[in-house]
Amino acid sequence: MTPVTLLTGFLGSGKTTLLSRLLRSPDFRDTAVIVNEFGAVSLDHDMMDTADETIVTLGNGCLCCQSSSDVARTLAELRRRRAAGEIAFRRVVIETSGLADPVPLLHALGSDGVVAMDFVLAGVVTTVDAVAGMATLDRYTEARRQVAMADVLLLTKLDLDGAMDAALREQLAGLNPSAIVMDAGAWRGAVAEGLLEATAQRPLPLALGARHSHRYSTISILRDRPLPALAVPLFLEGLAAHLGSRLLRLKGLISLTETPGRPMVIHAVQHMIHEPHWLPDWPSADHRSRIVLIGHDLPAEWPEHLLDAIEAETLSATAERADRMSLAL
Amino acid sequence: MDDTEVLSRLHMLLSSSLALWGAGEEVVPTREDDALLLRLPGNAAIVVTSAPVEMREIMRWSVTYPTGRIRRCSSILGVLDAVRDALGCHSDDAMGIRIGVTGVVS
Repeated sequence: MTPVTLLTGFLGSGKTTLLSRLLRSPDFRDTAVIVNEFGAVSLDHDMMDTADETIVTLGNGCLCCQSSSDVARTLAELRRRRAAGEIAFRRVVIETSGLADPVPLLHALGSDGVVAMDFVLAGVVTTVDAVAGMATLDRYTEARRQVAMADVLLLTKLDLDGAMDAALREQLAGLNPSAIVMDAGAWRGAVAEGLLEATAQRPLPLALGARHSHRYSTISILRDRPLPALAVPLFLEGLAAHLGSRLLRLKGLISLTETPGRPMVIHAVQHMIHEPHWLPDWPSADHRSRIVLIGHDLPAEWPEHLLDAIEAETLSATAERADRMSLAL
Repeated sequence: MDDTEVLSRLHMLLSSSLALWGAGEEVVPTREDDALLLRLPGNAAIVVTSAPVEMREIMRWSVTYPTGRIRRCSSILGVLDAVRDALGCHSDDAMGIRIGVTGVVS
């Protein structure tokens, strides 16, 4: 399977500069890049210093506003060309326009059967300008959504006068405390593989409960006791039914009663739940379930109350069924 | 997990759900014996009761609307849906869950 990384970030935040650097590095060989630009003339493609034929520029317009089939079609074409021996690549990066909302793109990656034959989502990487980032986040919803959706936040321009490192990190933590934050200069691209798993394994933010910034909030749920497996899809269904588009992302590392030694990793973009998978072992001595919800106008206590009620009902139903079976024997 | 605990957790969930649906100021759920009662303006009420144990393979809850209509539910999610419907708190935000066809890189 070929990992696909979504590289996003607001206008001028340094996505193209970052990609240009990465494409020259040996670590980033064998990467197909899908570039999307918002404007009448393609510039980003020309600004990338490479003769590699695996850079594809999508048509004009914001990628997230186009039919999701554009992304699927482009990936299918890359797959066809690779199969025909015309190009070779081991990973894909999709660079969005600065105004793109990553959510529809992630839906496209998660819902197309042809894409799923060869491509899997590696994660969302968002660049944030360390000089202008705070003002941008204050002003633009698109920028806040890009940060809220990220698995990794890369700070660019940290070497410039006026760069705000600590204050910006604090603001980013308010929007998305579950993301890895690092200096863009230290990112070598290779860490894109396994991003989702890496972020799911990270300890929860110290401040449990809800954090808020610009109507965006994060809710962290921590459970000492393993959950019955049946409770998980019911919980996700309840979130989708009652939070709908307010919920941007959900990540979880969950201890299940049925598989206590192997935590389940779940990952959702809005109501789209990606196939869960199980780690071979717990990454640390902390075996508690942890679930992080990121969205806007999230009700602080409701998700935990939902999980409490579903857990109780599931345990009760399981016990009643066991009683009935023992009586029948 | 006994019935009392399940009902207690449903009570908490309904209380915070009413706030989520924007009905928290008008309606407050109260617990009365083995039922939850949501009194509406005008002395009407929505009543949520758990089904007898012998019925629970088929249904676990009953929600009685102010009109007298009864909706049977097989889970707490059904109760939420029925109460929201009885209150007329329909949401444009509601989405059905979708299972993605892709996995994640491991």
